[in-house]
Amino acid sequence: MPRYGMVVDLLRCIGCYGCQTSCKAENATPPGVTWARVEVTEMGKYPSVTRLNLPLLCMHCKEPECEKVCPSGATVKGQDGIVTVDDAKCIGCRYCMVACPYGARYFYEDGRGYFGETLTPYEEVGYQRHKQGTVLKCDFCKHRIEDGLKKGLTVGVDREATPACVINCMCKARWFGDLDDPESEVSRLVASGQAFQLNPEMGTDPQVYYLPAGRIVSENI
Amino acid sequence: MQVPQGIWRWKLAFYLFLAGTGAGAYLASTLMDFLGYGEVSKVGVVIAAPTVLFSTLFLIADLGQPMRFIKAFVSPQHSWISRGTLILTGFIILGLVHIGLNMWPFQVLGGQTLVLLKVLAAAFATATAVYTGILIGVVVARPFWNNAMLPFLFLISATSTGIGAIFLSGGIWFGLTGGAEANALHGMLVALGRMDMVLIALESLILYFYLSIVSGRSKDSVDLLLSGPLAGLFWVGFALVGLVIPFVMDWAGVYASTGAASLAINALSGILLLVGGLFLRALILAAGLRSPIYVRVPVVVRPGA
Repeated sequence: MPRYGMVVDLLRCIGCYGCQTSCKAENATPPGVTWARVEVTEMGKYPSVTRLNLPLLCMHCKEPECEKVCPSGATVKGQDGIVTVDDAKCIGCRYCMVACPYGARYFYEDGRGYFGETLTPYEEVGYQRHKQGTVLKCDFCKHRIEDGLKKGLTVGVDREATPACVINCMCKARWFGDLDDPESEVSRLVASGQAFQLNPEMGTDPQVYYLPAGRIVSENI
Repeated sequence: MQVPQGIWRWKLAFYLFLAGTGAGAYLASTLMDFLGYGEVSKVGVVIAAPTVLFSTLFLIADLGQPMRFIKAFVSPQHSWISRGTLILTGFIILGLVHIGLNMWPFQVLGGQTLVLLKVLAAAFATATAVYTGILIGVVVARPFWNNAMLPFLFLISATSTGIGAIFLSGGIWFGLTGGAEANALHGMLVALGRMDMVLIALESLILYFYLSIVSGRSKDSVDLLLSGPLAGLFWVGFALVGLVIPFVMDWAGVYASTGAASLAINALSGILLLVGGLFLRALILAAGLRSPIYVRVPVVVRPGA
């Protein structure tokens, strides 16, 4: 089985929110739920400070805290490395939301849409994919991956077999693929030595890697 | 200043508070039992298991899918919610058996079986109070909670609020009956008052060290609690109402001239202890901020620099 992962290049990201918007369009997530999101933060210490666009999503950790704390067995890490919530099992206790170090989980509390109680035709159809009173999260567009594989496409290469946030990134700041395949683009980027994980001290071993916002030009001057 | 944690709110605070109070009432009663107040210590036993049972209603009401609450039991191998529900269930069953089989009119149990039941139930009561701290103490992502002292803080606080519940119900019982057991009850309440003074001092000490240690790793949370939006509730609602005033009242209760005055002071002190205990849970929940997500700063060295 593959082990899916992502690489995000912070130097390329311009903070256009394309990933966030395309995720909402692809997955019809309710208001307040942003499986893919961009946080604008600061980096460094005075006087060398810079603004940073930090795209975030579920890290699909190798050692997911959310899976560990889930009392009902609803959260599982699949053999393909994707962490999912089974909404037939989720009891909505939100322990996973408390435990996730990356704020990647959202509680679908009420059935309201973006324009109040009355849902738009798009919302009416789209929200059927989410169950009220359960926790929602990014699933690496599992449906796209599975559909693509059925068509014989290559995940991370062919658009139809790749997560929406990756193919819609206009700066090509995202790569997706199999981290167990040494020939995949994501594997080579992770092996470059520059890639890092967010908050590695949490011990969760995230499967989303980042490339630094500044390049190491020379180390020995 | 950071925004308080908003995922687990007042219903969870009530759950932690009531589970702790029920368990603490049982522990305090067991201690009084050993000190020779056997008959009147049943005040605590009678309120213990029903209070813990009541607390679980808050947990269930907080679920997004309350009808599926039974699924909370299925993962004791890794989830503290599952372990906790099992511990609470164990205590509720033992506590109810204690009430059902050892009190008028059903004095069925006696001798060694009764001692065994009491020891088992007391062990489960300790586990229940400690668990309320472990539940949030194991969350690595929230350094304010992720501290080994939190379960002890909650255990001490639970015993103190348990005494508060006994004070209050003892006062009500005395007010209603005023009968022959009043003197024995008064003796126990004085002993409990002394014990509570020790517990409050211990709780303050643990809280001081807890906040000092945690502030190194989670300054935002401690600022939120001590000087931010939660400061008023912390200093007045918890420190003053839940620690200082009950301490003074316990002291006054112990040395009150008449039994009736002492019982009235205890009952009032009980109310304050309960309010303070609820505030402590709510405030610690609210101050549990997530560790900020940070990005490693690259070493950028310009050629020729």
